Amino acid sequence: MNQMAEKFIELRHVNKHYGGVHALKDLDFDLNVGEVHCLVGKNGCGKSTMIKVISGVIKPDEGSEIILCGKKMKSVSPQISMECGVRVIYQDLSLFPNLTVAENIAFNQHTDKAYKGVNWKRINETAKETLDMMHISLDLGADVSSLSIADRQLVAIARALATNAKLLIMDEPTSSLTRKEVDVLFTIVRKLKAQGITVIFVSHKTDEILEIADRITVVRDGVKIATYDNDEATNIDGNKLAELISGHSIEYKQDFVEPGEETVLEVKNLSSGRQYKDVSFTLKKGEVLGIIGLLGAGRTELALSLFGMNKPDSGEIWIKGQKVDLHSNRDAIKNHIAYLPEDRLLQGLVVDQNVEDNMSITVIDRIKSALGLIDLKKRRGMTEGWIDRLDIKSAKPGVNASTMSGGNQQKIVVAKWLATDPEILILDQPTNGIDVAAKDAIYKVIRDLAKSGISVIIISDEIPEIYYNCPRAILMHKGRVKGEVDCSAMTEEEFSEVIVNAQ
Amino acid sequence: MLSKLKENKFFSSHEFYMSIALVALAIFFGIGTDGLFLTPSNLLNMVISYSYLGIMAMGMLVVIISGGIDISFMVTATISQYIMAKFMLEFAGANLVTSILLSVVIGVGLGLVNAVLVHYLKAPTLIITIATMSIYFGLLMYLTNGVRLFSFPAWFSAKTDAKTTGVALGLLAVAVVITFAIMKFTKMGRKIYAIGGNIDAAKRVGINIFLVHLFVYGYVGAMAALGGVVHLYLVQQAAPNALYGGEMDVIAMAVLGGVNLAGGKGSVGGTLIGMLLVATLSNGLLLIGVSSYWQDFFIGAVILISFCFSGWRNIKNREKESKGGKLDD
Repeated sequence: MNQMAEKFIELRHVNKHYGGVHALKDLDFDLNVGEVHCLVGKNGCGKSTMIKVISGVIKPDEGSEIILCGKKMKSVSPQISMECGVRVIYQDLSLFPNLTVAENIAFNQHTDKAYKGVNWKRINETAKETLDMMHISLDLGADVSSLSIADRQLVAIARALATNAKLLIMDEPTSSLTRKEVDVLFTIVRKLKAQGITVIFVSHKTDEILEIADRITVVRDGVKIATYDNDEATNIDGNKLAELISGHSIEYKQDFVEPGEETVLEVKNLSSGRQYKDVSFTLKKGEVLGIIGLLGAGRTELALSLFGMNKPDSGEIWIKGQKVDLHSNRDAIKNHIAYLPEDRLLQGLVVDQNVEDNMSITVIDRIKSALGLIDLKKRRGMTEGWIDRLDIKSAKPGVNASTMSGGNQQKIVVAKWLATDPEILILDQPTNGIDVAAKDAIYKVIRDLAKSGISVIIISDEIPEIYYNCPRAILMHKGRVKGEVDCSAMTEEEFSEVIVNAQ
Repeated sequence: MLSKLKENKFFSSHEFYMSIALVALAIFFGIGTDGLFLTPSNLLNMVISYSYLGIMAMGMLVVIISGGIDISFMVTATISQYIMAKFMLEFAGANLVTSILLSVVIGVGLGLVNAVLVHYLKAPTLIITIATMSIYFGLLMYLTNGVRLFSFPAWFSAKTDAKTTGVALGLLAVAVVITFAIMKFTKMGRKIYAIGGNIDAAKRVGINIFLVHLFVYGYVGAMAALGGVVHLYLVQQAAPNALYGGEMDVIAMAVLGGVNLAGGKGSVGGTLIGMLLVATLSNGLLLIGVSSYWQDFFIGAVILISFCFSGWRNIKNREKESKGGKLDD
């Protein structure tokens, strides 16, 4: 039936070489007008290159054919792409944080020659009309810097709509949203669809893809594997999708490491303002403990308290039978606690530095030579050791971290903290925004760490992530511990039911 | 009622707190000088003698909002002032309009050189403008041998109180109004805010960054030259080293007025308050008999205190947002 549908764009035999890399291999792709089309694949599989071809940022190789707005062409220019209504919402959103919501939404009035001068009334009207069209309301006069990530996302969408968008390309829009915010986003996407707007949606979260997509295209190593209708007949599910994305079957099964006897961490009645209250739990040596809760459940704030960066109001933290006061992250590191932040790019990685600099920054004191300068040989040895142990493909010590894929960046951050020789490792959303294959690799690393006696706390809102990796999990909701679950004693469905009921 | 007041944007703005500080300082100096500080003639003279720095601060505001900085503007002011002085002395046909025009054109030209360097070298603007400052100043001292110029034609040197007030406050008002209008009501002004806020996003929406840079650095040059004209009128002599070294006062005005040195934030009103703060401090300290060496000390201290205060407010706000209150039982 889709053969009959009107096409927004068609790519035929599109090839693209970057130097020696064949990024797109004879790729065919078509987009129906008014559909939500999900693009899935590993990091570096060619999704971004496809988006760049469609938006005209890059030219494909000779022999490629593209049909856009009913016109056949060899490549798309940015101007044609704009004229046909293609709007890309980049992952960084590209907003102006210092300007108001209204001005951000109507910013094209400053750059488009059709508008004369700066008319604040017109800017506010346009912004209001656009938000009305999306059926949402935001404070038009607020600076974008004061908004939550979710609201910023809405502003970015509104900005695209204000310029008469016909195709919205959203690059991983949900990676830093709470479940509730994702629901709001999806409601808006459906409304836009009803108004005839076409959407390309890039995401790593298979459950979200299955929820929102009309069709799904899987890309692997520059080759289009297939395009699927997301309906009953196709009967595609999360496991099947994960398999298609990675190219080999990934079967999740519980594979737990037996924890030791010794209690390494005990938290007693810890409270902090309205972030969390009365949190108590214990952690054994070599245990992998899950803390599951939505964004805003207080879990990150709790983790930061354990890492000395968010002073609790009351309660106690005991490490190996000794009460500790963690005034700063230096105190935490001294107590062999390591924390892998939720936002690896913002907090965990110095992206402009190379792999070696990133890995050694936490232990700079320990790789000193007799003169007190950095012992380069020692440092190189350490870096190569970690690259090897964590199996970071394509990583060389001198490679700039910004050029690496999300999964590998995550591993570098892991290595950086493992270098401090931690006994307690807190992982906040360790697989946020990385593809299924890289996820699997990270899980393997976690298991190996637990085997070597490191206690791990995994904080996550992804049910499978906790269920398959943590024998024991704590449920947090609105700053409270709602219960403790023995994952090995129940099925995934039962586990997921417990969690839904707790919220 | 009080909580409503607190929610109002103005009452939580940096400008609001700075005006309170200004009023408090004025009262303090008023008491300390038995009212001498607060006499209309003292206040008027104070504003007049700081007007040229205020004009330059308008240019500084614009360049800092764009995400850059210009250290060379004082030397730009000196060069255009010196050439204007020479022009008035050597050309019998010179008049006020052509002299000011010449000065401003030279200021803009020197600013454009900065813009081109900033754009093509892609080096920090601080480094580039320190370099051009040194180069220009060295050349200026060499070419002039440090000779002062004075004895200007009567149409420039015959001063009355009314004329002085008119020139100083008039040109300050022109600079303030034009800067306000540009930043608030022109596309160029909004683009300057945009590139100061997120230059990558600005490129993506198709802003021609080079054009904006040309405008911004040209504008600083123009304001520097205009300030130079007022200064020349007030002191009636052009000395190659008279202005050099005053850069920090102007930057202090902008900073006290609340511009964000990282770019993207800052207001004309705030900068005006910043100018009055610096003027009040210097003039007030002088009147209560504090050595002028201490003036820099106090200006520095006020900058530090204002930074600590706004930093403290930011931390408190953030804490309140994330932690405030308690969870209900």
